[in-house]
Amino acid sequence: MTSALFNINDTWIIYGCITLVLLTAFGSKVWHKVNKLNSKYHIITWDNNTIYTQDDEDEDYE
Amino acid sequence: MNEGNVFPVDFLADYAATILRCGATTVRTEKNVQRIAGACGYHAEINIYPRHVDVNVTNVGNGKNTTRSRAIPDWEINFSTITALSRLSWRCHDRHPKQEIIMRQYRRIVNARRISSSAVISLTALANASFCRLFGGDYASMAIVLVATACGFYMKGNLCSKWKLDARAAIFMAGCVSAILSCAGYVFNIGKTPDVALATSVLYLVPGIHYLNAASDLINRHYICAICRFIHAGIMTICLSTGLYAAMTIMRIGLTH
Repeated sequence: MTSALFNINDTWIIYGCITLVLLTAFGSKVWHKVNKLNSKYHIITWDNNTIYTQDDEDEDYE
Repeated sequence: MNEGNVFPVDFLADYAATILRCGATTVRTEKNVQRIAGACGYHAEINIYPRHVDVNVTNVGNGKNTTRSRAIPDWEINFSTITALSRLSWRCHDRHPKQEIIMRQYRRIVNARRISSSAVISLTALANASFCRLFGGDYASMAIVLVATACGFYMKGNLCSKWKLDARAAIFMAGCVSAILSCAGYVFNIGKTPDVALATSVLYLVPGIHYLNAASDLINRHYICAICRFIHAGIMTICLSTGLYAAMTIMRIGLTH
């Protein structure tokens, strides 16, 4: 036998779970689309001083 | 090294690794490999370890032997592949086909299309909803379990394949999500048996095949494999139990006598 004490916030936990399922289903697709969009239009850019930044496409190897 | 040994030993090592990966027991693997080797005029000995398999093939004519070792990839349970590979071993035993034909048939079995993931999800959800009915749940609880199982199973698969999450963490999350979704019966006052819905919502995560294989290996005296499978199944059970407990804690559900 189980006993439970619920309030209105518990419905949001269930909705949160459904959102999590949808996020795992479509999250990676959205992430890849945003990533592709950013690499095409450079919506988010950073300066060359950042050590992890590299842009190989326009690199001149002469 | 006898060059004539290369075909059966390479093929048999691949065969053994594949059939073990699909969830076959050690006794079936041993018998099938020895059956094929016997049909080709060889004698095979097989050592099965938790993550590897060694196949030693001896030419009955000249006594020369060759050994190959293969890693067993992560378990991907597929009974239809096991059945087809067993049939192949009997075909070798009964008809003695040429090596090329054996290889072609083996490749066809291995590359066969699996049942679609949407069908697997639907069938798993239906099976778990039936469990709910078996334990005395009403139709509303069955519907809740159906949805909770479909969501949890789909999420588990996605977390492992798309998000490359560890299987244990995926089982924990799937168990937690399924249990929380099955609490809809409590929260929205749906049905008269929400406790049955909650209890049966995570049953699809119980690694029954691994437990059965562990028992079979134990009977067959493959103690290392039996213990390995039992520990693996136990860890998965702990993960799903932790997920269920986390959901019950989040939803503030307690057990009463």
